[in-house]
Formats: sequence, C-alpha cells, structure tokens
Amino acid sequence: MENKKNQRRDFLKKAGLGLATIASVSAFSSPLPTNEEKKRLAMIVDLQKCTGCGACTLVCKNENNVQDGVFWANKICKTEGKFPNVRYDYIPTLCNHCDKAPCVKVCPTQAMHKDENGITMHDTEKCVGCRYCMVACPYQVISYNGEKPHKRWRSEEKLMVGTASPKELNEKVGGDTIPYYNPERAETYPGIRPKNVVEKCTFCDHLVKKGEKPRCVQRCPSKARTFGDLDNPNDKVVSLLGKHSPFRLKENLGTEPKVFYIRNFNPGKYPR
Amino acid sequence: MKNIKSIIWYSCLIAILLLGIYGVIVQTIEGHAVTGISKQVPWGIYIAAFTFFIGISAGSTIISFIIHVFKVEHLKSIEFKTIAVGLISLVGAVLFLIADVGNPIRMMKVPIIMRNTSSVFFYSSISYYIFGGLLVYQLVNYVRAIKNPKNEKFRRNARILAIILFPLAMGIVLVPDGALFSFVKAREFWNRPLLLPHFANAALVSAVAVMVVIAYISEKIEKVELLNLSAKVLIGYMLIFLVAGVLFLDLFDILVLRYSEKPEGIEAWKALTNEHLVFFLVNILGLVFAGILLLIRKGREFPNLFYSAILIILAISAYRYNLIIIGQEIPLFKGQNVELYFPTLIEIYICAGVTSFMTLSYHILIGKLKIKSIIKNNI
Repeated sequence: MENKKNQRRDFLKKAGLGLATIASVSAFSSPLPTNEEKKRLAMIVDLQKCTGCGACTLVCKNENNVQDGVFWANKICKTEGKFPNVRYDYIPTLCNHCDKAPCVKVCPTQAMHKDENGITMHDTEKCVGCRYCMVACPYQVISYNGEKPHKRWRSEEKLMVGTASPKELNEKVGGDTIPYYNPERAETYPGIRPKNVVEKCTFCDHLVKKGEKPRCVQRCPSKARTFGDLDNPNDKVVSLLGKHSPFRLKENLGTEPKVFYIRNFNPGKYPR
Repeated sequence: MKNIKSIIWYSCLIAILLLGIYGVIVQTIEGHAVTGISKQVPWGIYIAAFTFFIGISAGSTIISFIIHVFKVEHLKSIEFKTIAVGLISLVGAVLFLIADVGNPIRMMKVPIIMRNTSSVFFYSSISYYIFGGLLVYQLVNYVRAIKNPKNEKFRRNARILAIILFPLAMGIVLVPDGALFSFVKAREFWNRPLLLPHFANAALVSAVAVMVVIAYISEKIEKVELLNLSAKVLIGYMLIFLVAGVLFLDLFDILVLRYSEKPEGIEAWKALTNEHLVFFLVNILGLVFAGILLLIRKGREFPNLFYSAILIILAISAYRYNLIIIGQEIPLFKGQNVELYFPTLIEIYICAGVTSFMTLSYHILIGKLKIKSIIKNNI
C-alpha cells in the first residue's frame, strides 16, 4: 500500500517537473518582440488625391506575381442617383489588416495569422483551402486559387500564325512561369501561390522588412497613399489621421481595419 | 423478378457512383475552377449538401435517443436504421466537405496537428471524429445485442451511448455547424440568433422524414413492415409538430427580411422572390402541403405519410440551399453587382455520386451484418 503511495507521489512529482520544463522551454523559445520592434502598420488613402487610375492594382500584380482574375489591390465603384444629380464613388480596396481580423479568428489551421507588425499574413503550407476566411471577411479581399496559377502563360497555343505562344515567349525571356516574375516576392511568401489555397495582400511585407513602403504606396502617381506606424506619434499617418476625419469600411463590425480613408467628397451629404 | 429489380437498382447506383468518381477526377486535375464558386460565393452546393446530411446525422441520433431512453416500443423496429443512417449521413457529410476543401489531407490533420481554438471549424472537425467513433461503437453494441439477446451488457452499452450521443448531436454537431454560419458577422443573412434553432429543427424533421422513406421502401421492396399503424400515427404527429416549428421559423425569417428595411434584408428578399423563387416555393409549399397531408387522418398512414416525407426532404434541401447560397450572393457593399451562383455539372455529378455511395453503403452495412433477417424475425 505504502509502496503504491510512493509510486504515485513519484509519478506526480515527475509529471509536475515535466510540465514545468515544457512550460519554461516554450516560454523562452519564442520570445515576444519588444515594444521597439513591434509596429502597428496602417495605410491611409486620400480620396481627393486618388484619380482612380488603377496603377495600384497594376503594380501590385507585378510586384506580387498575382495571376489573372485575382486582385490583391482592388476597388469598389458605384454610381448613385439620376442625372443631373449623379454621384460616382471610387474607393480603392485592399486587405485591411484588421486588428481583430475575422479571417484569423475563423481559420482552423492558423494559416491566417498576425505578424509582429500587425500585418495579417497567410501561410500557404498550412492552408487547407476551406475558404472560411473568404466567407468571414467583410471586405471581400481574399481570393482562392481554384486552378493552377498563370494558366495562360503555360499555354502552347499561338494567338496568331507566325507568333510565339505564351509558353515560348516566357521561355524566350527566361521567366519563371511568367515573363515578369518578381523573385523578391518569394523572400517571405511563395513567389507564386499554388493551386487550392487562398491568397491576399500582405502590405508588401517583403519590402516593409527592408524598411521600404508597399509598392502601391511607392508607385501611386498622385501620392494618394500614405503608409506608416500608428504607434509612432511622429509618423505621417498619425498626423494625417489627426488632421482629417477618417473613415474605415464597415466599422460597425468591430474588426478595427487599418486602412483609413480621408477627404471623401461630400462626406456628410451622402451617408455611407 | 425481384432479382432483376435489384440488379437494375444496384446498376443505377454504381453508374451514378462512377459518374461521381469521374467528377472527382476532373475536379482533382483541374481544381475548383470547374465548380461554380467565385470570390463572392466561395461556398457552393457541397456545403449546402454538407449541412443537409450533417443535420440528418444529428437528427437520426436524436431519434435513436428517444427510442432508447423513453423506450418507445412502436419505434423499436427502426432503432438500427437510425444508428446506421446517423453514421452513413455523417460519412456522407464529411465526404462533401472533402470535395469542397482544396487540401483534404491537410484538413484531416486539423484537430490533431494544426489547430486554432478560436475557430468554430476546429471544434466541428473534432466533433466528426468523436461523433463518428461513438456511432460506430454504438452500432457494434447494437448488433451484438441483437445477436446475443440474452446478454444484457450490449443493450445497456447501446443505451448509454444513445444518451451520450444525444447532447453530442445537439451540442457538438448542430451548434458548431449552425454556428459556422451564424457567427459570421460579415454575412447578415446568417448572423441571426434564430438560425441555430432553425438549423436544429430542420435537421430533426429531415431525419424523421428519411426514416419514413426507409420504412416505406422496406415495406414495399423487402416486404418487411418496420412500422406498425400506431408507429406511423406517432411519427405522423411528430412530423406535424416539427413541420409546424420549421414553418413558424420560416415565417419569422420572412417577416424579419421583409420589414427590417436593412439593405441585406431587402437584397435577401429580392433574391428569394426572383432568382431563388423555385427553391423558396419548394421550401414553403413543400412544408405547407406536407403539413396539410399529415393533418388528414389517412395522411398518417402509408403511402400518404411517405409523400409527406418526400415533400419535407425536398423542402429542407431547398431551405439549406437557399440559406447557404443567398447568404453569400448578397453584395457586401452597396452598389456592388450581385454575383449569382449556379452549380456546374461536375458539382452535380459529385453530389449524386456521394449520395449514391451513401445508399450503397447502407445496403452493404445491412447485408454484411445480416441484420435484415434478424429484424424480420424479431418483428
């Protein structure tokens, strides 16, 4: 009897020690980033500066090797009213990198996750392709790769007799799947995302890590986009947000989006 | 003659199954581009079918609980069928899920290796393993109990499992799966507190209706009278009560959609009365006619009870389809175009293939366990 008691005590002691070791190892193995490293990156889109040229969409496609039919940087266009009282709205959209991102919450495998800068990132190795994130996202900015990406560039069919097929053209310029392939993208995320997973804007995290700004911010011809850290009081985004009355898309859902819009035309006259 | 009929029946089932396999091959090679899903409607007919069969699985388990615990003698003859239907429907529902996801092998790892405890999907995937395992164990105990009627142990085990499976069916299968939709704030059509009771009630009514169809087919083809007159009347009253519940919730839905004056409500009402009118009518009129038929005295006997059951199954399928598809078709932003979803032929092939697979599995399960003759003798 006594022997059994001792055995039980030994077992409990060992189990306790084991748990304590596991807890301490896990606590030290993944140190949280310090406050200095941590940022809350956000983007501001000035709607009075934005001309709706679509350059952001194009450069995003080039930078991130985005395939046909998929848009990481997109837009909402709507026309309201009847002539002569017509109102045309053009709102550029992209992943809002919400503080309380519904896609991160619903993803069963943590493929959608937050990085140290508050960017909502996606891991193609973990993605099961359930598309729950697409259903849960209120901004419709997540796309699904239903087929092998860049199918058009794999085609051997010539558009006209005597011309090169897309595949030949690609081989001629030495492109990787596509002639305009950007290898820089593959530094933090697969250069071209595979079939059967979702993909979305990453705030060009590969550039951000090098201290650069996202490509859409760099290439906007009217400089309508501003990018920076919300936690840095000296950052331009903080001063712009203080200067104007910004709005965010679907704020009522409590997702805390980090893409702000300022200087909308007639903001008070037409409720959104 | 009977042999020729069964040869034709099994040949049809195998042909449909082969069509389904063809669909799976095409979808695996080409990807989900061969389906009708889009950026606006990421979930299509597979998820609608998944919700339908997961509902039947949970519903049959609840009926099994009622039979076991309340010792409803009239329904004892369908006891085995409820467990078998519960298990096969669960397998079918998971197959629909596998057809829907991009990486099914990775999905299998969800509850074990890759987990996000804030995701409802995580809990629902755990529930399939637990629920499926317990259903198999219950089936084993039930078969042993029938084959060894003197050994009380197996019957007791089966009863205990029926009690354990009841809260699991209600709590784990229905709630996470109903919650998969009702927790999504982005889709106002789903984000309603009444969705869960509606989902659960529809599950129960469809499961009872499936049992009636099975009993009728057994009576006509196998010449086994599974349900006596009292049992039919009891099931008839059960169906009246459940159909009234679903209709009440449907009516409530319509009133909220029609009079909320919220943009999503207006859009949903527009979709119900335009593009989805056929499904909407099948849903409402199917339940109304089934209810009327059941209220007639002769309606609670075969074949009228069978017709009501068919109407109910059609109505609940239409409800599930409309629930999943309209919830996504409503534009997320004012002024955005409505993107309609239509299932493609490949999707239809796969759905038919999975349904055929379930029917074949049911026949094999009964044939392998030689349960048919035992039940026949008991009756």
